[in-house]
Amino acid sequence: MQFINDAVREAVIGVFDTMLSLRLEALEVAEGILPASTAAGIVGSVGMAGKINGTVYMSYPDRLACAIVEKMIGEAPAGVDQPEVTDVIGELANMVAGDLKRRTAEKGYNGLLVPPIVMLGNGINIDSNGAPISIFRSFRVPNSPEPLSVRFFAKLEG
Amino acid sequence: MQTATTEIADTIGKFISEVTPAVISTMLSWEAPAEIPFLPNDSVHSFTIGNINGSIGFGGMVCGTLFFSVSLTQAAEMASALLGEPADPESRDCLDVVGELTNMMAGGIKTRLNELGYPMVMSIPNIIRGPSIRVAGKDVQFKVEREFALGSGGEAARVIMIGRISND
Repeated sequence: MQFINDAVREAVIGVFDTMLSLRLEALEVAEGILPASTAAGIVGSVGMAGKINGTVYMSYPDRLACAIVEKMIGEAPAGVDQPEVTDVIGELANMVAGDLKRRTAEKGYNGLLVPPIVMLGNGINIDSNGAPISIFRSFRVPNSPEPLSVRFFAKLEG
Repeated sequence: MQTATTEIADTIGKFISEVTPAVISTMLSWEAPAEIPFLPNDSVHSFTIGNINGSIGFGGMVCGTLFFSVSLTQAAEMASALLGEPADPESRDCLDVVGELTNMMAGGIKTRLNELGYPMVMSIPNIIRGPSIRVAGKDVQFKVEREFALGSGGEAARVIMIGRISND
């Protein structure tokens, strides 16, 4: 499913470039059985259902999330649990999922988007539950020592 | 006067109350778990979930996310009941069982909403694990939660759905 893997990369890079003028650099990529990983910080996620069924999860360490929010709204948030942080992280997940949906629809796999959810915690572990498509990608964000991690678990119908 | 949103939330609550005990008793051959009355104490937009959570999204006229939230002990007991042998709470089997039960609950709710004239499609289940995870729902209008006494200890398992009526 190389086209989905490519679509995830292009969607993430495109949204960050357009919305934040940040040029992300793709780092690690893994497909299939992904290594177990625990994310500390904040995770934005959006599901899609239809010819493509799945969910995209975008994991940010606290400092990275706050830096991105500051770049977006021009003011540093008091902490990762502030409403403006969850708003921005949810909206970025929504935009990436929307872009990803457009790209997969062009290949005949359309889906309806689910409203975004944002999760906060010190040890969030997300498991694909055996989804046929499991993709992990990480991205270097300019001026951040910590990467953005993106997971996409999905199944194609038909 | 009830709004369309409160009406659909009440309807989904009723469906959760019907579907959850039916799925548990059918799949695990357990007595149907009793619903525990409770007063919701957190907002539509922010709430906590348990240590192991099946999660599944819905798209369509009603769109949102369903969570089936259980403890490690409950997950292990459910996996043991389904597989017929003791299950480690951290094992793949436990996660698979929670995912499958979430899928069946979501399917039951979706079927009932479709029959009421709300066409919807379902995503695939994922498992979200961890201590004290706080969830913030964005662009949602309702949160429905029901609790059930599940497993030998009778502790509460939670079924939560957040979402909105979509005009798309």
